[in-house]
This record gives sequence, C-alpha cells and structure tokens, in this order.
Amino acid sequence: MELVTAALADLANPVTVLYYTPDVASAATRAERALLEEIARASDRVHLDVRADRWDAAREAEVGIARTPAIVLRSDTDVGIRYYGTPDGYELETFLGIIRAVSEGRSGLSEASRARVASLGRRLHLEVLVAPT
Amino acid sequence: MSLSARLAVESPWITTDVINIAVLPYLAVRYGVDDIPTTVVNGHKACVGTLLEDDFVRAVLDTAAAPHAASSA
Repeated sequence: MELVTAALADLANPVTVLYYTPDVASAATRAERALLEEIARASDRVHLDVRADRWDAAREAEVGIARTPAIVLRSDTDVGIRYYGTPDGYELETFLGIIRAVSEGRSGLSEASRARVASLGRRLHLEVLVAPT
Repeated sequence: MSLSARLAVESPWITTDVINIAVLPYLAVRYGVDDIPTTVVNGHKACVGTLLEDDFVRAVLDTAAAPHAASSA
C-alpha cells in the first residue's frame, strides 16, 4: 500500500479507472477489483468506476475493448490504453506509472522519439503480451 | 512505465493493449510468443524483450511501415 501511495502522490489531474467486469464475479475478478479499489483509495485523484454489467457488444465496441474484464485508464481524454489481466506483481509498478502519465498527459519520451511519432498519419494498435508474476 | 503505453499517451494515432497472456492465452499462440514481453503492431510481431527506447520506437515504426502491417492497420 505504501508503494501505491508513493507512486500516486501529487497527481497533476484526475484519472478515471474504468473497470469493465462481468456481471457474475469470479475469484479472479474479485481480486482484481480489490486491487483497483486499493489503488483508488491511495489517491483522491484516482476515481474507480466499476461497470459490472452484462456483455453489451455495442457498448464494448464503442469503448474499444475486446472482452471483460478490461481496465481503461483515462483523464478528461481517452488516450487508448487498455489492460487485460490483473496488474499485480511486477506489472503493478508499470500500471501506476501509466496512471501518472495519463494524469500528466505527458509520455516522458525523448525529443527524438516524439519527433518520430509526430510524423504518424495512421492508426497503430499495439498489443503487449506480458506474463503473470 | 512501458514504452508502448508511453507511445499511446504521446500520439492520438496509437492505442495500446497490455495483455496478460494468462487471461488471453490464444493470443500467445496466434503470435507465436516464446518470451515476454512481446510487442505486436497491427497484428504483426514487432519485438521481443525489453528494448531501449530508441530501439523500441524504431521496431514499432518499422513494423508498422512494412507492407503486411500497413495493409492490416
């Protein structure tokens, strides 16, 4: 908990953690929800919004998620980051870092990387496959 | 923080899914994942492992520019 509190200290702007979870909970989704609730408790700038509804294909397509449970991180804008799987273990630090970046609206990339990305003119969808730790 | 997520924060053209293969194991099979993290761009494997920022950005953009990935964007 101390790690989470320290990582989320002094966030610049509010971040919403949208948690899309099936209407029938499982042990895995209960654990995932408990972790997200702990993260939300650690900062008054992190708001957890749980959507424990039945699968709605139209809504999920609009949100851009392929299945539930899924986690969407957004500030006043949606930067297009989706999480599938509980961000615990080594992934927790990464997840908290993403919350901070979303809050600040800054990627932290080098000037050279930003210049290369600035020339993009079409959509790129990245999938990063990680393993449980 | 992951470089892939940084890219999504940086550019409105980029979206990033972080996927634990324990919950979507079929993706590990589809992309022939033999090490993690594996990064896929528009359905095509771009790089494996943790790379330096310059190398990672180059791998992502080079994969995206390849004809097979460009056609599936």
